[in-house]
Amino acid sequence: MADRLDYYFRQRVTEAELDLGFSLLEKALHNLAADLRIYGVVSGGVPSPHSPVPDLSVDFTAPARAYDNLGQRLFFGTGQTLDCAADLSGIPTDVSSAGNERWLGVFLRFKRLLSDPRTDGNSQQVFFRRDESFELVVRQAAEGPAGAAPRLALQPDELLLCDVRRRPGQTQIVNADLDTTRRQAFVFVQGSSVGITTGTWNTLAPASPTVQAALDEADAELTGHFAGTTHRHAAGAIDFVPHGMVGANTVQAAIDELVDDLSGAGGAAAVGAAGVPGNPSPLAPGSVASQLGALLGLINGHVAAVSDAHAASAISATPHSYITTTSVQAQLQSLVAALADQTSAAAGATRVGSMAFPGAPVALAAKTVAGQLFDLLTAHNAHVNELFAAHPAGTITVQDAANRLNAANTEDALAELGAIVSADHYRANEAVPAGMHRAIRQPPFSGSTKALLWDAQGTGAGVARFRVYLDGDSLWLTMNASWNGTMWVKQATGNAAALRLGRNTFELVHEGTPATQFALWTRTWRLPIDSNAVNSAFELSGSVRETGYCGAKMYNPTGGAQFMMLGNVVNFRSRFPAAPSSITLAVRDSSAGVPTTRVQNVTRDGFAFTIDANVGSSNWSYWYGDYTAIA
Amino acid sequence: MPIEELTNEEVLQRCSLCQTATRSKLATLSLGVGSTVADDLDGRVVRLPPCPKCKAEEFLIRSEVSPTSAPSTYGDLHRLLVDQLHSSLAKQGRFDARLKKVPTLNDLDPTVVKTFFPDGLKLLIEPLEKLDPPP
Repeated sequence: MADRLDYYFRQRVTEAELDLGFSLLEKALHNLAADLRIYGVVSGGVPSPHSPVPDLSVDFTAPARAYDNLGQRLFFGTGQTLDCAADLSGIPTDVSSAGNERWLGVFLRFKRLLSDPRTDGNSQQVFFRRDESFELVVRQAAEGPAGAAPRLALQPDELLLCDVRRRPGQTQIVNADLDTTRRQAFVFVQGSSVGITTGTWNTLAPASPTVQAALDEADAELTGHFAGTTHRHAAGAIDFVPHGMVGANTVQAAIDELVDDLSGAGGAAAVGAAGVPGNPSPLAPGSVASQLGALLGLINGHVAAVSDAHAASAISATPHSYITTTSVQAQLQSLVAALADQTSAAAGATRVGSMAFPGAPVALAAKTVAGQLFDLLTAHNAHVNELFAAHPAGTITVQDAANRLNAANTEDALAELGAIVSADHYRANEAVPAGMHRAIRQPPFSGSTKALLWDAQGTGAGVARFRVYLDGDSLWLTMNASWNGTMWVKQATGNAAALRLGRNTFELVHEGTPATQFALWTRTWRLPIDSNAVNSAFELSGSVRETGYCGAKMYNPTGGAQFMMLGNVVNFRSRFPAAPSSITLAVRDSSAGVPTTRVQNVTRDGFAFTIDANVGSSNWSYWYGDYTAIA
Repeated sequence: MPIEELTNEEVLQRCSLCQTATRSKLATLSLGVGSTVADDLDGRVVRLPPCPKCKAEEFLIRSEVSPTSAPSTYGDLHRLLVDQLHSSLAKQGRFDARLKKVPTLNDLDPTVVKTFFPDGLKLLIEPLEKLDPPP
């Protein structure tokens, strides 16, 4: 199998000749491997992250065996660790840009291991042993975007063990970074070089009788089968385990049975249905049949509903005329708004038509309601604006709901009112200004102990409200007081006063307390005017205070000093209700020797006033002052 | 110059002329006003001391009839105070010795006092009437 050298007797063999023998034999071995196309990693050399602590190195398992394309054997017996931080040229393999990555290739290549140095006859050092060995090298590809970075091409004299991915800022190589999909695994021989016999085959018909052609044919058939383009299974050839309501044992029979059952009357009941949430009506879990029944009931109930079937806003409607909205609700609202419109351009009355109305003297032509209303208003105003003879007064009825008139028409009513007014007023066609009173006559009033004759508000001040009452004996002129039948009531906050003129009495009265109503006046000035009583002065009642002037003066005509006393009587201006409880004398002027003053014999009409003093001869003694009486 | 307050020992009067208030002990007052003439005496009158400021003199006259049980005016109430003053002076023997007959006077009805003088025998001027402001 190898080229041979025939060393001969007494041949003096040179170094080159000896080396040539080994070379030819080694070449024969390499050729055998190359001829059989044996190459690749037989076993071992499996990569893994560095242990125990991952870093930028990769561990490879041992023992590892492989052959390169030249048939050279590569072997290492112990585990190897390869630093991937730099390639075989010492250039770092780091990734510089974020979002990029870089693929490295870890290759195994043949190498001679020289050893056992010796010195030859030329005094040159040579290595006597040149053992087969290996070398692990790292090559790096260009950096590229993550997922699209390029990979290294395979090397002709080297075997790829794995690809290693580097990432930006990477400090550890982990399993996810190791890719063995391109690993050059061992190939023993090419399938195209191995023959086969196809005589008894039924399906496969390879293009040539080789393993490679047969495998290609099998792949094509399986691909067509899996894709469903060729060699599809008949459903009758696929087993089916009977289940549920299906008793057939092939897919074809099971489908037939299932179709027949589902297309039958009970098909819907055989199909289950999950519950379906919904508002207002959900569907309970059950079968298609039960849910169809429930839906049918809901639909029939909805269709048969006589109210609340749908919100009007949910029913569409086609825009028409000036109604431009598209639902029943919106169109109804638009219609209501249009009919309620009061603008002159689009008033509701302009939307409603009306037929003609015959009549005389006014007739209405067929128009919109707005048009007819305008015609009516025009006719009405023309009628109202008639200056003369719009109606004869005798043709105008007087309703007289309160039944105050005898007349039934305006003419008669005017005549009746004229008669009433002219009874105590001057008419316009008389010489005196029209409306002025003649005598005011009033009939007897009933229902009150005091009849109200006049109620005048003057300028509007409540305290100045003036009223005139007449009872069975007296005429009352009141300010700020009205009679409610039993009590006097103040019109406004403040005092009240009145003047009463009776047949036998004239009286001024006053009410000065905070009370809002009262039966008796707090102060009165009463003047009896009949002939049987004191009628020359007012008789007072209530709280009375009077201040007057009094005094006395006396003269001693004798030749010596005398004790003198002088008295007189002071009359009150009005008669007090009783004798006053207090009388105060305040001097205005007096003689130098102030006389002693006294008050005595006090009555409701006055009091006795005396002075006394020792008066010198031909001298005066006097006292003049004010009295204040309180009762 | 009415009186505004009456106690067991004194009376408070306010001068109606100058508004000066003066307190007088009951022990300085007496029933009866008259001159030195024998018959010139009125036992229904009490003379109060002159006003220290304006010298005005007040004479208090008790009522001739029984006081009303329902006083309605300031005058009614003042008369009640005057009657009680007379009664108090009579009880204390404060009357003119020339009186021929010592008057027998009654104190006010306690019900009347409680109703109309709840804070004691005090009386401010015109309590039942309130004058309108001038227009």
